[in-house]
Amino acid sequence: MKRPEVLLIDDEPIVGQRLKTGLEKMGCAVEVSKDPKEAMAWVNEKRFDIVITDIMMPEINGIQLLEAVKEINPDARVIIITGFATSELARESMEKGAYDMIAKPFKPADLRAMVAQAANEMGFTDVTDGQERHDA
Amino acid sequence: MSTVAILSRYVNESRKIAEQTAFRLGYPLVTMEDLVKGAATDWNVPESELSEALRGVTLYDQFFRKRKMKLISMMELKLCELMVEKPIVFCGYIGYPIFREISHVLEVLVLARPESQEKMPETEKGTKPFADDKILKWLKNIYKMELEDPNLYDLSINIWHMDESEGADVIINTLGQRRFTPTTYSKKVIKDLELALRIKTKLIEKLPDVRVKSHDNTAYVYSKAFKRGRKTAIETKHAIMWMDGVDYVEIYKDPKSFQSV
Repeated sequence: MKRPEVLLIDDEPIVGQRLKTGLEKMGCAVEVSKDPKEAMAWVNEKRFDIVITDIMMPEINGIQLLEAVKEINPDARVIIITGFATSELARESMEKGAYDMIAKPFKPADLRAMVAQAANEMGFTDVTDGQERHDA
Repeated sequence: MSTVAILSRYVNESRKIAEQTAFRLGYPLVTMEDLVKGAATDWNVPESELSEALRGVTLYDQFFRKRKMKLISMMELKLCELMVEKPIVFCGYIGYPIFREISHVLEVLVLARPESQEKMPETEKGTKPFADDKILKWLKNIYKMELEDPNLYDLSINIWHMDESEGADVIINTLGQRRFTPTTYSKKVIKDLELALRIKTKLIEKLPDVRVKSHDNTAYVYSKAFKRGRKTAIETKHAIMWMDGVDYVEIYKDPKSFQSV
């Protein structure tokens, strides 16, 4: 069974730790980075199917990461998670190719549902969040 | 699916373009009349009273300002409830502060040469106001906004030399841009706004300066009145604590702290 490669970037380690196990249980191969520069290097080396990134991070922000990911792999689904959500940021993220945006704090189940939908759309039909997903 | 909000003081002209847009998108068209009817039913208030609250600034306002703000809040709430249900095309001049918050709402300003102007004798053209200037005054009074400031909109169209069909084309093409795609965040914003408006509608007559925000079933409420004593704050908290969808209430007496929520 092919598993979607997921990269999770957040400079708060607790966020990555909290989400990694749940995403792995869904059938994803998950790598977590709390350093956006490290994540950027990984993105250049490896083809990730789904990237989940925070926006406000030191040195490289989530929008820059989004642009880099989409340039390398336009099919990748990039999910933005942020504690500073605004209407303007949502528009900018979507314009630059984000798959979705969710504001912190969020329920891990909501993010898992988003990842499952993205994975299913990419053909990873075995990935499930264990609950029904309503259409976006 | 994204929503379209067409704001204009050219009531008849903007309505035609809204009808075309709604028909072609397959969305319901929501007008000011729909909000009046909906709010009248929901709150058991006469339609005439709600309609009066949408008219220009009158003497009535000076004496019944609190009541007027409550009636407007009822109609804003109705608008928000309709937006939670499904994408709509709205045509009118209420709800600007709501649309601002939602990234998947395309805000359109329609400018037009109204039929009334067309029918005027040639000598009178340009000497009388084109449209309902009371709407401009109303918006300035209620939202402190200049309706026709193009900086406030995603799209401004002048249908002076354009028919409704072409106007709808422009709107639908713009709506297709990726930046207006709904997100989990923007859909949640509508639900949060709906709860905040329900609370505001309940409180506004008693606390005319009340400001309410909500996130994840927590209500954040500000009023100057909370500075005057604990009693008002406690009463307010109790009044909304039992409302559907409210899990927790935070009271703010400092506007700066409230702003930062």
